[in-house]
Order: sequence, then structure tokens, then C-alpha cells
Amino acid sequence: MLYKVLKLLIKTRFSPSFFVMIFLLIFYSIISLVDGGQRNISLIGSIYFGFIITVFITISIILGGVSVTKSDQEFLLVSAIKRRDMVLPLFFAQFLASGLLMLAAALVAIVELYRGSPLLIIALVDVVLLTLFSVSSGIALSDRPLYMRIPIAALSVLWILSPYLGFRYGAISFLATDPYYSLITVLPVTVLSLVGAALVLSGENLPFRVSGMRRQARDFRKTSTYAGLSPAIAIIKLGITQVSIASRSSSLGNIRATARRVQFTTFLYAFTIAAILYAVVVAKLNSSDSYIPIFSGFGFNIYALILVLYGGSAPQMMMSSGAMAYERAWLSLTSMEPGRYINTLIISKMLQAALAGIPLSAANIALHFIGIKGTLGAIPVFEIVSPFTVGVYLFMAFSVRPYQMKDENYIPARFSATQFIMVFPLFMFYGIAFSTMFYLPSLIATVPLMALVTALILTRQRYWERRVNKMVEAGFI
Amino acid sequence: MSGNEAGLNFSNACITAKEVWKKYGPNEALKGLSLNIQCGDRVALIGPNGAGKSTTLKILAGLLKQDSGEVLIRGHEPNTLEAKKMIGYLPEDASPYLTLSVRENLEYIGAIRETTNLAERIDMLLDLLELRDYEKSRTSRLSRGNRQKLALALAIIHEPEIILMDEPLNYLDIPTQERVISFLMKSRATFLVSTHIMSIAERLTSKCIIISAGLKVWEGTIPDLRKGEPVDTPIESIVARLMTNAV
Repeated sequence: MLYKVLKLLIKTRFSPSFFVMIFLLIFYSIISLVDGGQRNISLIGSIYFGFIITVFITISIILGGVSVTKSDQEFLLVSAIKRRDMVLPLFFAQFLASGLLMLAAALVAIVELYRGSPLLIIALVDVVLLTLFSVSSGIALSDRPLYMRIPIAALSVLWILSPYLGFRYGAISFLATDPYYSLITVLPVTVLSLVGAALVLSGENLPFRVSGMRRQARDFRKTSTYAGLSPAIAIIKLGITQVSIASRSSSLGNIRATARRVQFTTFLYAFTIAAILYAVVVAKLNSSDSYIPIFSGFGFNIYALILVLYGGSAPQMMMSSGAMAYERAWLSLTSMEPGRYINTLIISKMLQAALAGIPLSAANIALHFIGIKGTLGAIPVFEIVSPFTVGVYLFMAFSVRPYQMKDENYIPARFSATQFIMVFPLFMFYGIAFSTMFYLPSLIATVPLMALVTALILTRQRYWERRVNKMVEAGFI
Repeated sequence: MSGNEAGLNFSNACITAKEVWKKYGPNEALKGLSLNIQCGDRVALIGPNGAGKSTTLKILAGLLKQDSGEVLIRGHEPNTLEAKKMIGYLPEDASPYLTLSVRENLEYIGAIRETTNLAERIDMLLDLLELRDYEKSRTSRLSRGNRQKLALALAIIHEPEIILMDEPLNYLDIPTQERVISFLMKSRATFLVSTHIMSIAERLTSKCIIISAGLKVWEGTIPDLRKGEPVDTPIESIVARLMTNAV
């Protein structure tokens, strides 16, 4: 029975192309293994690794839960199958969706860091355990309220990043010290979390826990008005003032729909606090080492580069992803020309990204005026490159078979390789952002290019008429 | 190309479809379907599962493009702005914007449809559909019935001349069904309503088009359906026979 359930879950949730992509990533890591060489912990490599682990685990804890399809809940979870026979298949299917992706992403870095080292195996055990922790913590906290999840997530972040504060037993201290030290905390924490997940998955009330994960007030505290606005202004107002979260919970690869919206002002406050913290930290830590000259008179500040790496694209893309997932073709695209509607929507989200970047840009201007070199390059990244990336991201999101969220708490679409295409805007962002950071005059070439691509995106009127047909045929209604 | 150029009689036609074909991959959903619905007509579109009813409505609403054949909404192609302004479309199991409140949904769609007297229209629909208590409610938290009421309100917010509805009374409680039927009957709009429930077809419409396997198999008034049948024969039996014979 266990095997049958697992086979059913895999067939209904994944397309073969998804596994092909994951295994290509893992294959790349294995190929790197036989390359030999010395252990080489680069700054960027360890930042990347820390970033991946922190983001996946934080999202899993805050937004996680048991990921099932609507059919799973309505048929599988209420069928006469012993609950214990479902624990492993449900966990494994969830691990395939999110943990495997995290493992593949992290392996690339860890193999590079430990290439040729006998400690590689222990480091790999650490990484696998952290991946299991990411998936199981989300399941274990299934229907727990947000006020309980946030402190747990904060504690986890502290645990993950504690090696930077000098704690040698932190989750990722193997980046700097012996991986056995990490294992001392990673192993018991993961076992605890796995037990918690097993209890949730084997519990008789699992179907109710899946459907009852959200505890929100019936009414919004604050609503907006659109009456009396022109169509374009209504779309732009909605696009700028609201952020619909199409959460990908239980780690980034695992999509479970939650219809949440956040006022843009909340994001703006968060960006402002981040900008103040960033400015204070950079001003305090500034030294001659933090400025890295590249070409004659140009160079970048390492902290500004880290800021761009962490905050220049992912938050903006997250803020835009709901615009596609919650769109309703039967309402918007029957009300006006699809091209005009989608273009205005894209513009609104580009403007939102530019507005979100203002506090961080202001922080960099302030740092420049107090004499910290190499920070100016971050400003065009937040005000030009980020909005441009959002434009490309949304264009692609509507062009590559978009998923639509109609029911909450369920996986809305099968996992397939097409979702990896959405990594393309991220790579494009890093390419342009780093060239801007490294050599500011590169904007002379990249700005006209970005303007041209934006113009091409926003003038595709006939394209959207054809595209709507494909979207509706694929069930986007 | 206008209707007259195509050689069709559009004298007072609101919805015209001629030899419409539509495929989904290898599956033919419509196989040369033709319709001619006059302005003011109230027509039920009836057919078994997979007959092509929803596809027909999506094509008329401009959301799908037929592979061949011609479709015109008062002389305009369905994906033109002129046609969109005339049409109100309600799909089956419609889901409004989940991250907006009930009132925000109505105001937003009302605004992008450039609805005149929007505030009055919203007030009227909130009262008609008993959604007043839910104005500020998250749509994601509404029951399925209230979500359907909101979807219905959104489909008719702009007082469309032509209303295309796919199972409009699904999930609605009986008192609401009665109010909606009464409201729609007072309207001067042209309806094309896809339904499986003959009692709704009988009350809401005067004509009936039966399609099966992508083809029209019968068209006429509902009293015509009963002609030649024993008085006590349920209308469902008559329709079922027509559908079966067509296959």
C-alpha cells in the first residue's frame, strides 16, 4: 500500500521533466566532485550557501504545511488507508517537491567548498539533515498560528547564522570549521523536527489540519476604493498598493496556495528598516578592504554587492508573483483588451518595484555622501534593473503556462521543468546588476538594451490576444 | 469582415456563430456548430458533459479563438472592445479575485469596465444578492454560495446587453435562486445560459438549443420540446432521448 500511495502521489504531482531538471543540477554537483582540487571557501560561495539555507528554512517555517492537492484531501486522506501507510509517501512526496530542490541548489555550493576534502561526507550529511529539517519543520508546524511560527523562524535564522557571531555549533559552521561541530546541533534538531512531522502526518485529524491551516479574520481591516477611477488608474492603484502573496511554502519549490495580501506600505516600512540597518552596519564596518577597485576610478563596495545579491530581485519578484497567480481571465480579460490590461498590470508592478527600492537607494546615496566609496552602483540596480527584471518576470510568467490559484491550501499545479524557466530573469538580473556594480558606465550599454526589451514587452498587443487563447485552453480562467 | 460580407442574415442577430470548429489537441470540442440568437432572446444551451457548451461560451466571450468558422456579437468579433462592452460572462465554478474584498472586486471590475453609476449599481447588486454583510469580507473566506453570488454580480455589474452564463445558479440557496431568476427575467438583456437543470431552463429561458458532441442537434422553444409527447413525460426524459439519439 505504501508503494501504491507513493506512486500515486508522484504521478499526480510531478512531471518527468521536473526530475530531469533536478537530476541535471545534482549531476553538475557530482561532476564537480571528480574535479579534484583543494578546499576553497570563497566569500561568495559561503554567502550563497547561507542564503539558500536561510531562505528555504525560513519560508518553510513561516508558510509551511502539509502540501497536498485538492484531490488528495477529498479522496486520498479520507480513504480507508491506515494513516501510518501514508506518512512516508506524504513526506517523501513533499521532500521531492521542495527538499530535493534545496538539496540540489545547496550541493552545488557545498561540493565546490569541500572539493577534494575528506570531510565532504560529513558536510553532505549536514546538508541532507538541514534539507530534511526544512521540509519536516514546515509539516510539524502545519496549522500553528503565525505568532508561534515567527519566533521559531527567528530562532532558526539565529541558529543558521550563529557561526558568523562566533558560535561554533551553528547550522552552517561547517563553512568555516570542522563539519562535526555543525552535526552536534543539526542532528538532534532535525530528529526532533522529523518526529514532529511524523506525528502530524500520522494523526487522525490530518484532513482537518490541511484544510484548517489558515486563521484569518473574515473582514479586511483596511480596504481600498476603485470607484470613479479610469481603467488604467484602477489597475495601477491595485498593482502598486497591494501585494498579493502567492506563497511557495515548505521551501521555495513547493507551491501551496494561500490567498494573502499585504499593503505595500508594510513592505515599504520593511525596506526602510532594512535600509537603515544596512546604512548603519556599512558605516560601522567600512574599511579600506570593503572597497574593491575594478577599472580606472571604478569599483564596488562589498557590502553594497551583498545587498544587491540579497535584496535586489527576489523580494521584488515575490511581490509580483501573486499578480499572475490571482489574476482572473474571465473578469479582467473580458473587460478590456488583454494586451492593454496585462501591459498596465506589468507597468504597475514595475513601478511598485522601483518604489520599494527607494529606501535602499537613499541609504546608498547617504553612504556615498559620508565618503563610503563604491555604493552608488546599487542605486540604478534598485531603480532601473529591479523594475526591469520584474517586467521580464511577469511577461514570462504570463507567457510560460501560468499557474492560477483558485483554491487555498492546496498545490495548484503539477511540478514541471517549466517552472525553472523563471530562473532566467534572476540570472539576467545578476548579469546586469553586477555589471552595473562593477563598472557604472556599463549602464550606457545596458539601459538602452533594457529600454528596448521593455518597449518590446509593452507593445505586444496582438501577442496577448493569441496568448489568452492558450492560457484559457490550459485552464487559466 | 462584417456579417453581411460573410453572407449571414444579421438583421437583428445578437449572437451568430457559423460552422465553428474547435479542437483541444486531438479532441474536437466543436464540429461545425452554428447558432443564430436574436436580440432579446433567452436561450438555454443544453447538452451532456463534454458536448461543447463551456467551449461555446468561452468562444462567444472572446476568451477562446475558434479554429475555423465565424463568430459575431452584433456584428463584432468577440475579442473586440465593442463586443466586450456588450457581454457579461459567468463561467462555471467562477472564482473572483481572492485577495480583494467583495466590494473591492465589484469596484475594480466596475472601474475597468467603465461602468456608469457604479456606486448605485454596486448597492443594488449587494442588496439583491444579500452580500451587504460581506462588503469588506475577504473573498477567500466566503462560502462557495456567496462566492457564486459575487461572481454573478461581477458578470452583470456593467448592465450587459448580452449575458453568457455557465450554470449560473450552482451553489445558490433556493431564495437567492428565486431572486436571481426574477431579476434576470425583468432584464431586457439577451441570455445564453448553459445548464443541466431543465427546471431552470424552463423558468429562465424561452428557447432551447441542444448540442451533443460539438454539434447542434435540436433547436426550438421549450413548448416545442413537449409537442407530440404524453403530458406526463418529464422534460428531462425528452431531452435525454434527443441527446442519446444524436450520439
